Amino acid sequence: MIIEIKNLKKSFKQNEVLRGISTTINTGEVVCIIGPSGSGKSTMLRCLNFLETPTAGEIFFEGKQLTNTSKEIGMVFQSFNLFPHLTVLQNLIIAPINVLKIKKDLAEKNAHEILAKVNLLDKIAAFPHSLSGGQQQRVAIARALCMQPKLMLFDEATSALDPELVGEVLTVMRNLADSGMSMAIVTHEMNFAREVADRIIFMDHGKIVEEGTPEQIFSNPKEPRTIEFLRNFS
Amino acid sequence: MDELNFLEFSKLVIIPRLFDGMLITLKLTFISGAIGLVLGLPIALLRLSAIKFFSWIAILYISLFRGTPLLLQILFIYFALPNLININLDAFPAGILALSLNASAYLAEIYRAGILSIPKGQSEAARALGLSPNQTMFRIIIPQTFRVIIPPVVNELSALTKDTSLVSVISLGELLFVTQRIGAKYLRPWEVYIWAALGYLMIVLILSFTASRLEKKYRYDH
Repeated sequence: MIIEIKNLKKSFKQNEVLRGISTTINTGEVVCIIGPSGSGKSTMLRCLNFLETPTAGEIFFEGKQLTNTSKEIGMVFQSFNLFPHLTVLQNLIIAPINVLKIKKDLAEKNAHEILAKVNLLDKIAAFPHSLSGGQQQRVAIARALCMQPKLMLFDEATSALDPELVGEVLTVMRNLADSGMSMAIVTHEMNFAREVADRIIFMDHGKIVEEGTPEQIFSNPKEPRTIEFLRNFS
Repeated sequence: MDELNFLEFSKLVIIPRLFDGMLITLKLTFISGAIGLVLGLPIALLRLSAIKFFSWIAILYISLFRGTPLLLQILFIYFALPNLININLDAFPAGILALSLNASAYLAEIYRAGILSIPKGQSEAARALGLSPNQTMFRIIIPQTFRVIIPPVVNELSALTKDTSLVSVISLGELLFVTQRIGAKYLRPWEVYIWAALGYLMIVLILSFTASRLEKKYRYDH
């Protein structure tokens, strides 16, 4: 078990966004979190690495309670958030050098290998603005991987992309899943979720309504709310 | 002297003295500008601090120097400090002190605006990567502000260039003081003021030129 969430709650002022979430993610498991907008999916993901501080509840990462952002959890954002003043290589090595205290030449060597995996070695010296959205998101994934995380969080990683660029990012994510990485993916790409996930979590109104294998959720959903939500996609 | 035409009068009388004044004006501008730029950043960081006490100190400082006339600040430092706390400054250091403190208040707000203009996603990404708040500020956020703050910084430094003329009230022989004296002596005001104007204009134009070079350097599509 890589992460365990116990009764997680989050409110913004009076607005209760997460109303008691409990679940676990096993090591090597790929969990896709689906649900309508405003259901709290992104907030839950952001709580996992303390970009939002939970109002209540506990999160255990490899058995230890999390109280702050962990460098062993990588995150990919909807809006990429590459550092625009740094080249692709510099984006990839800044955290390993400054956080993990890895020597520069080793960090660069790792960055080369990871960049090759996302098929962007030819862009190593480019600045983010010169890349397409799909390329930027692949660099963002590579940047997170350079920290050698044990869990990767994807917050609607393809939602800001032009439709023809979604595929290249999903391919990278699929390869990552196949390599055994533990992943929590908030997504609207139902076909991708169905194909790549070991487990689907359906959320609505700050709660987990239903969870199960893709087969159970997509072909044989039990809860009326899940059935209603999935109807929009078929 | 009346028979000298504009060019002769300029060449023989004004220009030789103009350089001394110009040199002092340049020194005032660049030294105060540099101190203001260095001092402005920590003030901006204090202002942005989550610790109320620190941000209040910065707010007080900025309000004080932005809320009172620079002329008054110059007079206060030169004439009142010796009485008040027995610190006697010559005209030049007094001028530098007043101008730098004043400029740092304005520059602090420019830095703050620059820092606040960087999207939240940048600090979130840095945090998610494990970078500390300090590393995030100095390696991610502040370098990105350069591009944004160059125009308002040049604006402020141009204002500072012209504000150096206020130091003439404490008899510091800067550009305006020197030219004014020649004008009074020879009773030919318009010639001297034209030269003074050209002097300030030249400094500001050099500043603007340097700034546009810098802006090109910090553009992302280079």
